[in-house]
Amino acid sequence: MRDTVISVRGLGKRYQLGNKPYWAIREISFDVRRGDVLGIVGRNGAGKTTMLRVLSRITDPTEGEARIRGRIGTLLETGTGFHPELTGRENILLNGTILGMRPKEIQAKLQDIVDFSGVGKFIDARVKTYSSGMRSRLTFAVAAHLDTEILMVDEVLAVGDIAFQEKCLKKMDQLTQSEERTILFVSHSMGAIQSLCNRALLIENSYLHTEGDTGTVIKAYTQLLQGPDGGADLSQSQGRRGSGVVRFTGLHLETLDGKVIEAIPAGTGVRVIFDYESKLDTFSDDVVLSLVLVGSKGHRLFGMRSDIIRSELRLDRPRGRFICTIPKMPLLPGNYDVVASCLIDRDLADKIVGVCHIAVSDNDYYGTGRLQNGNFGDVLVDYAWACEGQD
Amino acid sequence: MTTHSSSEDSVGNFRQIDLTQELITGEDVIVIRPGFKIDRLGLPQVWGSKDLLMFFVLRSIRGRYRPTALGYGWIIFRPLLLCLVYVVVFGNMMGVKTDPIPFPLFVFLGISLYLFFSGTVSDTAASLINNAGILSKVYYPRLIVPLTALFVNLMDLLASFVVIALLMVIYGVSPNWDLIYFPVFLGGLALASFVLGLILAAHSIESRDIMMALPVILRVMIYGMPCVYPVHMVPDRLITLYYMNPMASLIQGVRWSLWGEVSPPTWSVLLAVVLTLISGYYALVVFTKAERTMVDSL
Repeated sequence: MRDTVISVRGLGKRYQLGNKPYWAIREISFDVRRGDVLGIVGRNGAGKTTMLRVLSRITDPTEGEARIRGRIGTLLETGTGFHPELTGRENILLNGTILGMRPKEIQAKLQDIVDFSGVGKFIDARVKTYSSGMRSRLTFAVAAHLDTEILMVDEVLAVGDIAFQEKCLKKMDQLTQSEERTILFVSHSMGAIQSLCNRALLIENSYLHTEGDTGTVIKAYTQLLQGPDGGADLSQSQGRRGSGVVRFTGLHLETLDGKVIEAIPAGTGVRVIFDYESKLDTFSDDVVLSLVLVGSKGHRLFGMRSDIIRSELRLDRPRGRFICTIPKMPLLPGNYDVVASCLIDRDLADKIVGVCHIAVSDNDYYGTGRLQNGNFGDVLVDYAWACEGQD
Repeated sequence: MTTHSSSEDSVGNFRQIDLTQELITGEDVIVIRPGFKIDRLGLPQVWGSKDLLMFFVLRSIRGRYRPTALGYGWIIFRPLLLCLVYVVVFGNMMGVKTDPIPFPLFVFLGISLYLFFSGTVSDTAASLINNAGILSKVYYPRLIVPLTALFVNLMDLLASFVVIALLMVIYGVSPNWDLIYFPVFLGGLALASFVLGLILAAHSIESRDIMMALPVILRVMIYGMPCVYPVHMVPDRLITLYYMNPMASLIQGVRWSLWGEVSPPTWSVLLAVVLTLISGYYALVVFTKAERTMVDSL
């Protein structure tokens, strides 16, 4: 049995919000073994980031205890354990020194880090001149290559381009396979969690909700978001943008003939139904809705905008439903994150990013009993092949 | 729709986890738990991070002077320029006499010590706020941050002492055996300045007013210690009060040990030691308390 490298018992952190105390996390207990990749999932504001901050000793817990064996590398937010006034090279040295490495050891890894990050000649420019993408690429490169035994990664996939995100995921995979590195990985992308993590935990309203193998936790999270009748309650979810004149309050799926379903069989028709609440005094004739489905590596697969197809929508009731009909779901089985927005009179009223997802279930799309694997892309299209000889 | 609510559910699930397992132990295990203990300060860890301290010190010195045309020359020019002002104002216009020590040498030492004192106090006090960005992203022993401020100022002071040694040769001022006390008084001054800065740093997080008032107070304090005028100019009835300021007796101690000016009274030196030690302990206590959760309010 592999040895335990992190054990957490009854961990809690209280913040003071004005005069009211607020528990960001509470009664959290779990163990992590060497080489585990632990996914941490939960809604925005559930306490995931606070937990990583406490575990990486940036701030103290209010109660409970955590014990950690090994050097910890932390990648928080858009990843800046960086000093903006220092050059990239100096920051690599700084981070290595913080981890207790000798200058020689750091020098030996320097080239690998520069190559991986792709910042190239900018390595001797000050970090404050970097773009946010360059910064996060360099941070990831540093964290992945320096001598850390435990890596804590918070939403690294939220920034950077898709090619780099894939590179990161691959690197994380490699780190745990070959070097027995332990990773704690916070993400909203169920796809990334599923493909990377062997175990996961779900934090909900500051408390540990479920802990176990990845499948179980994702299922629990899905149920949490969707409720027993297969829909997601969006009325409480945070981290949204827009004026709030009109808000999405719920999401569920129906077949074309109106039967509520939890997952869409690949290739079948579906109606994606958003409940809304409106505070408009009058009506609006200028409603633009959009729905984008996002894949496991954070890439947008396809989007459906109502104005492109000239759907004329009129909103004149305080409550109702927005319905997006997809006649044939063109995606491989899996979980896809939802980005949806609503514009009223050209103003953003509500936008939800990654607070809920849509599940596509296994189905015989082509009627051949076969489906491509993810290497061939996530999207399913109708096609034919032929071979024509020429004289 | 179920809105999941907290405790019952999670406590229920919580039991599924195998908590019977022993907690990991060992020398290399980091224990994270709340509570304040002085040993939390982790002085061994600070010592273990001396490479990091050196990195920060070298980096700040380089960062401070690199963009300037005169570069490292500023380490010397800054006290020299100030010195010039005081030589003109106090030495020539007001005719302050510091015999047998030439007035420029007298003032240069005073200015160097004052700049060291005020630099250490203000840099140390501001160190946590100035480094909020990195402190909230990555962990290293927090005491490294104010220590960096102290060592950067010490480096400047060392450079000034090279100039002072040169001036002493030029003016033919020679020290006597009391010079062995010089490092003691200088160390005392460094410690006292650092302790004061550390206390301010710990309090600066909750009350930012400190940072506004500090420059003014420090500017005024140059007249409260024997920097730009000799101690015999202090009226007799005020001299006891004057020496209650540890900085005054420490700076006078440096003067005495270096070239035999009037020594500070023994009681004032003892008072300075006692005050520094007591406030040193207090500083470590408040800093450790602040360190625990300062990131939450930075």
